[in-house]
Amino acid sequence: MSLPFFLEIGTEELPASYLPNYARQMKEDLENYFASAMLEHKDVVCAWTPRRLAFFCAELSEVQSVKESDVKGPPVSVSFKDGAPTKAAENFALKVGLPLDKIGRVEENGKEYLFARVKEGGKKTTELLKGKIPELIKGLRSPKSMRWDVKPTTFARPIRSLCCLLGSELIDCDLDGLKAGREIKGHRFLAPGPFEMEKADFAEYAKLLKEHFVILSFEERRAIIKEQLLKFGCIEERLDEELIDICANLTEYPNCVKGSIAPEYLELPPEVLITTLKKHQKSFPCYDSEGRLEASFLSVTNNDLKEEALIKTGYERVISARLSDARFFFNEDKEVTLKERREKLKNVIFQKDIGTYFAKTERVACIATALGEMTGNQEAAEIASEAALLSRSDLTTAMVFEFPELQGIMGRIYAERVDKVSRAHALAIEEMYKPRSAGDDLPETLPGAILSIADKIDTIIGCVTVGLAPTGSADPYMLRRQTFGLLKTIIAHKLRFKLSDLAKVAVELLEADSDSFKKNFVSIMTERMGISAAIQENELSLIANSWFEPHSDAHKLEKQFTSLFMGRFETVLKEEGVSYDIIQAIFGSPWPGIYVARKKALELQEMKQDAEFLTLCNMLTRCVNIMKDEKKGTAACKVDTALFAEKEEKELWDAWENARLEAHALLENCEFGKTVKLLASKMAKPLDDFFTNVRIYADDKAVASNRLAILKSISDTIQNKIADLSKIVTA
Amino acid sequence: MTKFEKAPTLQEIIFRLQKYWSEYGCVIVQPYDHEVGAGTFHPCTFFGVQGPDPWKVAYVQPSRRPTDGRYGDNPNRLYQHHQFQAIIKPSPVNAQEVYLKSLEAIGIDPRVHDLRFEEDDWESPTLGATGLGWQILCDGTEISQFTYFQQMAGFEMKPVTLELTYGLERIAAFVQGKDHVMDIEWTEGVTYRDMRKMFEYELSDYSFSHASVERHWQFFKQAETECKETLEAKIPYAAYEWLMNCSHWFNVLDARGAISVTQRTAFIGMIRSMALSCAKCYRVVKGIDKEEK
Repeated sequence: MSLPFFLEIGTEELPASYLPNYARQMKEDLENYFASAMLEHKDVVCAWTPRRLAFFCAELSEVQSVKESDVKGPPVSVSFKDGAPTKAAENFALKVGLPLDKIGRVEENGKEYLFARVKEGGKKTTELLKGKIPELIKGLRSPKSMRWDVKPTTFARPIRSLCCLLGSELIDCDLDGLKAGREIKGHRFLAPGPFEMEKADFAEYAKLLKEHFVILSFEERRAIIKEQLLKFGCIEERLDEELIDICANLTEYPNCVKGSIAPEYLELPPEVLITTLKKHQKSFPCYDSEGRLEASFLSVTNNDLKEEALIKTGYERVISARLSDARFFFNEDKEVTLKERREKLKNVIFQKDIGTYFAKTERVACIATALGEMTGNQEAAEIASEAALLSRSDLTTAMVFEFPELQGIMGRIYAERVDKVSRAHALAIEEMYKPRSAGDDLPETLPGAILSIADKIDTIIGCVTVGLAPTGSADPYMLRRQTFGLLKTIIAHKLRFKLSDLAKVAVELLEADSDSFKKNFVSIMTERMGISAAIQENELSLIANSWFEPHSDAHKLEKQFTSLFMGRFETVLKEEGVSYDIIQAIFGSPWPGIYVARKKALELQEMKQDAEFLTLCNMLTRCVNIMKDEKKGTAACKVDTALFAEKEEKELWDAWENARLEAHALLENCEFGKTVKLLASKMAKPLDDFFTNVRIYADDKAVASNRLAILKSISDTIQNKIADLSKIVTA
Repeated sequence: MTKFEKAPTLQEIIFRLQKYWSEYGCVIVQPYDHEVGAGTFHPCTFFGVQGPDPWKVAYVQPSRRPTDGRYGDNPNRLYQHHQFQAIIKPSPVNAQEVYLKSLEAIGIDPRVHDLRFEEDDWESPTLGATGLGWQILCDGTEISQFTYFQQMAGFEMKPVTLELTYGLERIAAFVQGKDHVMDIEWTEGVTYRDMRKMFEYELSDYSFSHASVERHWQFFKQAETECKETLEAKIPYAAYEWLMNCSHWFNVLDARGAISVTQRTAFIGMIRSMALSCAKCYRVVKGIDKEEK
């Protein structure tokens, strides 16, 4: 028979961030244990508040299932000596838990062995859980754990009660001297209780808790907070959901109190006001009907607010003191311009092997200028470059010292208010940091984008150089994220340049700057780039190739650099719905730069719906396969029309000559989709006819090699100018 | 606190806490007569938590933080503030309840306020100490630190000691409804300003502008040597006093802006190493550990 199972671990206030993980870990551990112990069960559900972790299983078998199995023992010949059982026989009896006279014999391949039929399981669930529950609790892991009193137990905070029930039976677990009982504590102040649980009934448990001012469900607490916040003056789209989660994990009976602040504090920059409220007091800013900040805030309390005025006054006083501090910092900071602060950056280390922030901003200014030249955006780059020399200075302000997350934002504010620079300059200083996280906005202005790219490439090259390339899950400088942001910014602003050229600039600047710079890396980078320039290809194509050939002897640093970029670029494309075969097709063609490569990928992806295009891909696969088979013949250098013997080969060549001209014009404008569509419509049929009706390897070697030359011309051109279409999966 | 009852003065808060903890069984000891940064430095805590024997003390400890000096102008920050500290070894099963009752004793009724235990992992790199617990917030104001010591001077705490630290100025301002620390009523008719303003101003001025950097370096070096040599005589209490001096002089140098980032790490390392040696010596003298041969 099955009974409901219930467990509550009653604790002192657990850290908010540990709660969900703790509960889910224990739920899984319980389920795994039930399964391994042959206890039939339904799924375990879990719930938590700061002072309890609770688990419930609607149906758990009262006894273990019984499993019978046959166990073969040692041969009879060694089990008895002179009729008396040997050690071997005794051990076997011990192992199967049967007296010797209950042990049988079995014959196998003419030899006799001891044999027993063993019954496993059948134990009472309560007996099993009695020892197991404490063991599972001790097995839970958290980022930090502690000991308390005189106990050997470790947990995030002291465990003060345990209640463990199967049906209405109390399972008398003992956790290092803490005995399980039926007592459940209510809200610490509003209704401490305790009350008793008569039987395992989760609905009843939640109901009783609610009567004792404890809302068991995290989702429900969250919903209450959200509803009250919206009702009292927060705006849905500006709600900090993460902060709501935290508040829901800090309270058992959440209620929002609205307080006001002196209107003069609205003169502070909104970011400062909001950050002060959120970071210091976990409180939410309020807005008026037009979305402007109001001189009020909302704090989530763990109280029924019978004495709301008292609590409100307390919160107002502490928040006012915090804002007064913030205003003090703000006014102090405004005494010194960012330009004057710059000198102090000589003492602020960016990374110990790379150098100071002062040096970094100098390099970034140069990179920004170079990027302007490369993309024909000199004007915006000038702004970016000037902004670079004001960036990071805010690291020396009291406000950023207090709130590191405001760096860049304070830079923008002080640049505009104290240094009196243009709006464009100020915005660029802030946008340099964008995107700050995975879902964050990209820089909107062009100077901001240029500065952001320049700063990121300097960081990436610098870090890879001193051995901080990401490995596995370790990426302390978040280079993957920075690379990702860099690529997305290039794409969003349609910047057409060779990233490797910019990398080269960054490398040279860093080399000039840093003693610890590994000269080796530079020489390899420049050598590679030199060769690439000579053969008029983009150097990144070589880098890309080396990425696909991990065993090539490319330098380790260069490989790290490349894999970082190409890896992130692949992610950018995948996010936009580009399939893997298209990405391979693009990488199989000379590298056209980030922006163009992405355009190509998107347009080719769209063509995958087009039947003619897929036929073309198939035809090109055939071409490539034929070229590979050099034993049967090699292509002539040039196609000789005089050697045409069949109608189809002439038609194919004419079609190609025509198509090629038209395609060229389209490619000038980077119209890859249209080009491919054109090629597909003009070339798919002639190619098909050719393959169907023409015997390529004619007896006349010259004719055969001329035919191969036609195919080579077609497939090479397409591969070089567009993509390696043979890589595309058509089935 | 009922609405009609007058809020306790600062000295009344101290009396009530002393009475409460005395009744709980703590020995009420006096502030240590050395400059310290926090009540944790008091030998009754630093040495008292070592070893297995039960230990219950409570005391006020004036605590100096030269970098926090604000000439008596800032509403919350002080060069020297006052901590009330209760030390209970081993931590009791009802630690939280015992603490909450002490709040009621000083006029804070947890039922009508928003009283919260918020995660706060405490660490003192100079003392080689760590603890887990909470900061206690009352309507958003931090009024206490509640710490289960896990380590002190590098030694694992067996059993665990509970340290309760009350920020006396914060609590007084809170219960009296004062926005500025200087407005706190010390006793009837006497404000915090009357008693402390001049001291705050002068000591802030001294730490930020006058303290001789060169002499403080020398003080520090000499005290460190003195500490080491005193330990050789196996008199840890005497040696530990020099550690307290070092720690304070380090804080003065810090306020003077005379310590760079790398120096800071080195200084903290030196003080910690003194702390470890003092505790080690104490444990041997006390017979907690056997002397290493």
